[in-house]
Amino acid sequence: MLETPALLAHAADLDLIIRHVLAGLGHGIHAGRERGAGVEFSEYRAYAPGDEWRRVDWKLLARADRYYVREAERDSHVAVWLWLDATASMAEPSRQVAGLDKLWYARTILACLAAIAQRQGDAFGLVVCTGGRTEFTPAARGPRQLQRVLAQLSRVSATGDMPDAASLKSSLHFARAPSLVFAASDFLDWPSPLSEALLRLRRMRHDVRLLALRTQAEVDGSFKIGTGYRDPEQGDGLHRLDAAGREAYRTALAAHFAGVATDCRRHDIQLYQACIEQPLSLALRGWLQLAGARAR
Amino acid sequence: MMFSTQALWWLALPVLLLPVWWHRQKRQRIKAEPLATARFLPAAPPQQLRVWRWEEVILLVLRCLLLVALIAWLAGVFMPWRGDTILVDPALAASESATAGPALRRESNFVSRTQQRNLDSRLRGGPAIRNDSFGANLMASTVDAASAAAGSAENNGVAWAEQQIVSAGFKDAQRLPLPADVLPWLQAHEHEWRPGARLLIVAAALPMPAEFPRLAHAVDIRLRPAAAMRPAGTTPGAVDTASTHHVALATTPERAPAWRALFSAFDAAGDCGQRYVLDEAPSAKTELIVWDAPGMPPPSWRAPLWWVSSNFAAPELATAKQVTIDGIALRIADSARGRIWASSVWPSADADAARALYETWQALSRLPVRYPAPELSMPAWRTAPLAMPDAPPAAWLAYALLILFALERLLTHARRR
Repeated sequence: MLETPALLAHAADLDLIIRHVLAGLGHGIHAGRERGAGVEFSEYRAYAPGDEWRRVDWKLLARADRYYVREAERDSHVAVWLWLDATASMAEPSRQVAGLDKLWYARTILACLAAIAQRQGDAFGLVVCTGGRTEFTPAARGPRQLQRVLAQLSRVSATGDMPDAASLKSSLHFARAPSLVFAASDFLDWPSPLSEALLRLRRMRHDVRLLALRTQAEVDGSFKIGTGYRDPEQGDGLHRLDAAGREAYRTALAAHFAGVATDCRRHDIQLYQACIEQPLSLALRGWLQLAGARAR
Repeated sequence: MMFSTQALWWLALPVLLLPVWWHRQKRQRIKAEPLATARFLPAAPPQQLRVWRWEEVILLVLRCLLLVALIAWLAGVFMPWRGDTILVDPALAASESATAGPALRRESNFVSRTQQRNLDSRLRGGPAIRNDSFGANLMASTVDAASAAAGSAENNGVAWAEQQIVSAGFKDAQRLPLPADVLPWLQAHEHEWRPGARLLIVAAALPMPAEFPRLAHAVDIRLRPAAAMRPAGTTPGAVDTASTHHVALATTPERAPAWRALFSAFDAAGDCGQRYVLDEAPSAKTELIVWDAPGMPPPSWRAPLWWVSSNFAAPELATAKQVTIDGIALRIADSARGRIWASSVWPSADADAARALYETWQALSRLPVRYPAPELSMPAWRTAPLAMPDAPPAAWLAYALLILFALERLLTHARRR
């Protein structure tokens, strides 16, 4: 069930997909729940020299004649921000798998991240850039926040352009405390208002991790020859692919993403490139492990 | 060769430009698909973007045909299919038999001038009659029965008609039964005949129209001569039962002979074709009640017309005005019994008064006689038939319209797939 990207792409329920994708992932890559002083009881632990006396459970001492210390789950202070690019270029469909497009892939992978964050007890919020404006869902934790974010993600459609640099810059105040920023986009425009905003976030010492999505046809340049193509975001006329132009196209695209990668490396931003035809869980794992590798 | 009965509809032909315009739209020769990485592809030259071209030529032809068929249907396009035609009066064939059929009587409710003269001379032997119109009035219902009374083998209608057809050179022409009102009918149906077709009307008699219509085809009208219509052996006594009129006579014994003499004079009037039967009491067939007796008639007596003496005490007569028609002083009133004529002068004593009474009666109670048309050859006045707004559209065009519409729908649907 739901083995192939095509089958996954036809499942409309984000919740179901998340459960399937995260089936082998457990509670995330890293242990997010730290134990210590907190509100919610977690477990008892034997007293060790150095523990605070006020954390010793005196009733248990009276019953058991041993020292036990109450452990509670400590809330994480790291907020996770999910950044979805839903401009018109994200509607690019896979030319091999019917019903699969970049927006669907980005949306689903961000939904999985939201689920992981919720399981780890982290606060998470959502930023969607679509139709020339930015839609915020403030960061919060808990299952209801997950439902809110999933509903927001399901509602998004790929239209319009990226908001301009000024409005993006003015809306960056959301992340005052250090946070994790997961941004999924195609990054075909670089530099762009989006890239500037992300670099700015990085300079504000947030942990910024990018997912650049491409289709296999884009990577190979395996479009139909002779057909006219137009850019969904830039109305600069018609483009056409001929046999000689394919290699030039591949070179230009590779150069573009090499530039993006160089820029990211210079600013210490993690960039993970994925094809939307590859399995979702692999891409998710790869993206998360990339960040983990740096942490080690 | 095609004609149109409502030619103004052809002015709608410029509608054909619409589908032509639709199918000759400027289209993008290269269909552009959205592609996110299109900016990394070489740009296509812009002059190839939009060009004039024909799209879906078969569909365009179908749509144009559909519109043309629709306009033609509205314009009443037809193909004339009739050639030379003989219109034969069915009464001619009917006159072959010994008894007159009702069809003949219907068709020949009029007499020719020669018949009129014959009847006049016959009448002069009876009461003193000076006015020709008396005879004309009389002839209204007398001729048909008499003319149809007998036919001999040598001058029957069919043989005469064949002879006329051969002499007019219509040997192989199509034959149609003569319609009731032939000249207006021809006017309405003249688009059915091909240009140059000739028509021959062979009839016992035709009613004279106020004006002969100007037809698009040459029409030859051949009428059977009156002598043939009226064989010599016919006697005034040979009267059909249909021309018998029932009169209820209620009078005093001393006035009864005068009334009987009056009605026997009516018997001899005209061509002697009418017979007046005097009864004691009215029946269902009674046309006239003569009440010349004292007192009132039984209330059950009914008739279309009453002749009563002036002392008849009907309430309707009290308010009736005195009128004088043809020298007869009458008071006329409508009552539940029927129309009442009251006068003090009848039964008429002399022939003039009797004739005046008869003429008045016939004039007021019978429809005017249609004047017979003469034999005539009408040339073709026009080369094309007139526009007839009421002519029904051709059925084959409607079928063509339906088929074209179905084809257009099918093709449009198939193209969308």
